[in-house]
Amino acid sequence: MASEKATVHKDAISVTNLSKQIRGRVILEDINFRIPVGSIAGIIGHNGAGKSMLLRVISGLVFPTSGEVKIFNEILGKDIEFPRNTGALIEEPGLLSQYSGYDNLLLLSKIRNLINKDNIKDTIKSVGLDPDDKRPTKSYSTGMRQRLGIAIAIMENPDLVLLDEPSSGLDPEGIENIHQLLQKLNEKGITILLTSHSLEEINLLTNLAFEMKSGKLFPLH
Amino acid sequence: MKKLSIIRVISFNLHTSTRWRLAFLFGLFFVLEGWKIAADNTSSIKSVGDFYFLFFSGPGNGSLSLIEILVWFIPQMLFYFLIGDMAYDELSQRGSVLLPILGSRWGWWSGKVLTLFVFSLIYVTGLILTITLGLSFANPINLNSYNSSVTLTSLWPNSQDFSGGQLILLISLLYVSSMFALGCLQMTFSLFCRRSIYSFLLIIGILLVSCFISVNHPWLVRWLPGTQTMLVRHTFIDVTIPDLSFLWSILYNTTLLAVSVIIGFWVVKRLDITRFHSKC
Repeated sequence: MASEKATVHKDAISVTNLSKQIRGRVILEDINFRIPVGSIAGIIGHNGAGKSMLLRVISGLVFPTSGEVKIFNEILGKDIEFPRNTGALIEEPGLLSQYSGYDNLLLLSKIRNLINKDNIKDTIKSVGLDPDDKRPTKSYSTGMRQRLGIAIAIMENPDLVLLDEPSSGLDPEGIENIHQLLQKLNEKGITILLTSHSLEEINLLTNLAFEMKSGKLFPLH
Repeated sequence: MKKLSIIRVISFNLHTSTRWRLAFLFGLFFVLEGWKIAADNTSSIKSVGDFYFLFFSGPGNGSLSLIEILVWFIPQMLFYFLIGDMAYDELSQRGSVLLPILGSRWGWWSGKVLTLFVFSLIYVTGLILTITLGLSFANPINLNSYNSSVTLTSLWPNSQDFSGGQLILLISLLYVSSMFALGCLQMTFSLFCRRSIYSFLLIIGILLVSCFISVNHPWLVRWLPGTQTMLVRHTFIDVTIPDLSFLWSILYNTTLLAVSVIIGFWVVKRLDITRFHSKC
């Protein structure tokens, strides 16, 4: 269940005049958008358009050159270093390859100790994986690794989930499974921002969509 | 939100950031090394203190023997290899998941530094235990029958002042403080350079340069990071080395550590966490 805190704010994400340059190259240019609490928003764009960089800025991993990002009304880099109660899957899930999927989640969950072993097993099941699978994740397929990355992002019941191309590497059944999961999470009040190459996926899942072209963001619907 | 427990962070780091399987393999290597040294020096080793002195005291400043250099260098090189992935690789591979969980860059960096300290303690303790095990295989006589005092006075006249226990305490403090400080420098440089291998090579370079450069310049010994672990280059063992006391080494290592921690945090605080590419 999304926390009470999320529900008292109008916007989950508010981005104002955001720009990012790396060694003189413009990666993001004057980005402005707001994502209301409880919505599923999507960003479509080609490789290199700046989608992942935008998610990294929103996650607090990359500093903007200018502009401001607010997450639940807290200014990133001023009020908070990283968004509170936010799960993210950006580019690669960064799994510990010698451990099983369950052990990967268990190790991460022990840092904050917010959830128990049953919660972890339920999360793994919810993304279509077997929590009792003892194989190390280095033997997982790309799709399985992607699902586990999503499981890591959602395991601690976040208020906001940032997903960079969540259906990448998944087979049609896996895509369907993840779509259902995201819709279920959203029904619980969790705000989701995802990126995708697929216009069909964006139209199907999101109630707010943008297109990213060469570092600029345009509203779609 | 629950407060983060530093013990849980250290436990996570120890699980995920060190190459444990190789560490166990190296443990076996040290048993063999301890056995070999004890077996090759049966005539000169009269006490447990002598054995520790031969293994840990490092190459002397007067005569450089390859065996002496390797016995001192290999355990250190392996330590810096084991911690090679601790900072940069984790940040580049798992930073996007871990940092938001930890909530702050300082939390991440301080967790790494404390983990390095704990790992240095574990490594040096493991090193002492495994080479002692090797010694016990090489000599069928029970360890308790050894006189514990150092008797290698023909080589180092001042070594007689130490018992085996004192020697182990001195060595442990010098090794742990030095590995902790240089390990922190290694982590800092890996973040700055964005390649773990370069920082590992830097530390290896520092150790080797420290070993060789001071041979003809005794006044340099106290200023080199690599010589702080070399017991035989301390003034209380070798009177030709000026002003290198135990206290000096601890202060030197503490200063190096403090500078590395501050610079490291300065780098982490400003670092964009993306898919990294080497800057060096």
